[in-house]
Amino acid sequence: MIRAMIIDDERLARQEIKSLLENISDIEVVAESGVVDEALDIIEKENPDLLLLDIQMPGKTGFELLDELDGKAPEVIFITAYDEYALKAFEVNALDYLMKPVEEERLRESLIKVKKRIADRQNQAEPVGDGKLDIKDQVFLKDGEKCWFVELDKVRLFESEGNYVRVYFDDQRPLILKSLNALTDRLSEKFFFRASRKHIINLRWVEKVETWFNGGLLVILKDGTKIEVSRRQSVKLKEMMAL
Amino acid sequence: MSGDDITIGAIGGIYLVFALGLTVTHFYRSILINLGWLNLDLFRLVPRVLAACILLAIAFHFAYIHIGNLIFGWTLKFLWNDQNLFAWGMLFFIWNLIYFAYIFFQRYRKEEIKNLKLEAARNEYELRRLRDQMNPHFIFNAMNTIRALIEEDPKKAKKAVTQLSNVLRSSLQTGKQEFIELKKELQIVHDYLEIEKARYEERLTINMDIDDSTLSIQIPPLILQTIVENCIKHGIAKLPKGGAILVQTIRHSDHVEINVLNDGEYIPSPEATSSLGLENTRNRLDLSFGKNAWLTIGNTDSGSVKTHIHLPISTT
Repeated sequence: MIRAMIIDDERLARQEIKSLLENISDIEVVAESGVVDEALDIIEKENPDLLLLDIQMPGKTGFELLDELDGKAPEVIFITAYDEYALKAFEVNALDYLMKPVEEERLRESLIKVKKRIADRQNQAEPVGDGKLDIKDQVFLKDGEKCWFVELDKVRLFESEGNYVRVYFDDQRPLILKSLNALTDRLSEKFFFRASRKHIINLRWVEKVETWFNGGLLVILKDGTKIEVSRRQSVKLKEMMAL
Repeated sequence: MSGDDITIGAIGGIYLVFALGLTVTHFYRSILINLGWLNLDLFRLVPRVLAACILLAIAFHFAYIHIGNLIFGWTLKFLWNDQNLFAWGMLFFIWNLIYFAYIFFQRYRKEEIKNLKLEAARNEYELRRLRDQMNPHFIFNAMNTIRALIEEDPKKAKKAVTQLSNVLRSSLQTGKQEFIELKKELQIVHDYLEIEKARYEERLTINMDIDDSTLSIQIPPLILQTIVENCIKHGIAKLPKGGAILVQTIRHSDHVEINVLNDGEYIPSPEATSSLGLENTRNRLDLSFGKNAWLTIGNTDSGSVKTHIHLPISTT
C-alpha cells in the first residue's frame, strides 16, 4: 500500500486527484495540504511514500518545498497545468509529471513506476533502522535553477566549500546550501564516513586505503579521487575496518 | 607576307580579342561597380551603358590594332569608319545586356528570399500573439477546475463551461477588431474572473464599480482583460491567503478613467519578458490614441497595486 499525500493550493485540484485515486487500489491518501509550510510539517509527521505535488503554488514552488525537506525525499509525481519551463529544471533525472487535467491511465502508469522504485530500493539494502539516511534513500538537491533526485548510493563524496557542500555523483557536482556537520548527523554511519573537516565519503565507493604521513590514511575512491583522512579519523576508520 | 604568317596573324588575332576582351570588361566591371551603376534605375542606366559601349569599342579597337601591329607585325590603321568598330560596340552591348540581366536576376532572388523570410516572421509573430492570447496556463487550470466541479457541483460546472467558451470566443474574435464597446469588454472580464473565482474559491474576491455612463465608450479589445489577467497572475495567485480585485470606471468631463486594484505588491522587473503584457498594452493605447491615452501602474498606500488607464472620450 502506497501512502500518498496531495499538495496543491487549489482545493478542487486536490479533490480531482483524490477522486481519481479512489478508483486505484494499493494507494491511500494519508494527507493533503494547500500550503507549503503546513505541508512540510505534515510530511515530517506522516512520512508519506509519495507526494503528488503541484509546482506553481503561492509563496513557494513545489521545488522549493522539496528543497526544504529535511531528510529523505519521498517519491514525487509532479502535477502541473502548463509549466514547460519549470520542468526543464530536471535535465538529468527522468522524473514523473502529469498534466492537468490528469488522465487516469497516465496516473496508473506513473503509480506502477513509483511502486517498482519503492520495491527496488527496499530489496537493495537491509534497513539499518537508526532513522538516518541510508544508501537506499533518495534525496532532492537544488542548485540554482537545476534540480536532481539522487539515490545516496550514487553519491561518492561530500566536500565542504564555505557555507556550502559540493555533492559528487555521476558526472554532476551541484553545490547545496548545507553544512557538512549537519550532513554528518543525518547520514547513516554505516555507509558514510567523515574523513576530515572537509570531506564525507561513501564507504561503498572506497577502492583502496593507503597509509599516509603521520599515521594518517589516504582513501582512493573508485573514480580515482584521493581523499586524505585526518589522523583522529584514521584511528576510527582502522577500527571500523578491523571489524 | 607568306601564307603561314597570315594564319599565325589570324589565330593570334583571335587570342588577342579574347585576352583584350577579358581585360577590358574586367576593368569596366570594377569601374561601373565603383561608380554605383548597379544601384541606378533603368532610365539613368541605359544612356550610361550606351556611352560606355562606344568608349569601350574605341578603346578596344585602338588597343587591338596597336598591340596587333606590335606583336604580329600587322600594318593596320585606326580608321573611324572601320566596320569592326561597330562590331566591337555590339559585342560590348551584348556583354552589358547579359551582365545586368544576371545582376538583376540575382537581386530579384535575394529580394524574394527576404520577402519570404519577412512573411515567415510575420506568421510566427501572429501565432505567438494568438498563443499568448489563449494563455494555456489559464485554460488548462480552468479545465481541471471544471473537471472537479462536474462531480461536485454540476450546475456550476455547466456555467463555467459557458463562461470559458465566452472568454475563448472573445479572444479569438475581438483580437481582429480595432475597437469594442467597454460594455462588451467588461462582459469578457466578468466571465474570466468568474472562472478564476471557481478555481481560487474563497481566495479571490471580485468587486466591480462601473460607471454606467462609461459603458458605451470604445476601447481597443482585450486591453482591460490583459490587465486583469496580470493582476491575477502576478498578484492574487502569489498570495497564500488570496486577495481582492476591484475593477472601476469613472467618467470625467473630457476623459474616462479605468482602474484595476488588486492585493499584492508591484515589483518592476528588470527582465523585459515579464512586463511584456504591460508593454504591449501601452503600445496598443499609443497606436489607437497617441498621447491622449496612457497607462500607469504602482503601489498604493493601502497595500495594493493600482493599474490606471486614462482614455480620451472620442467625439465619433
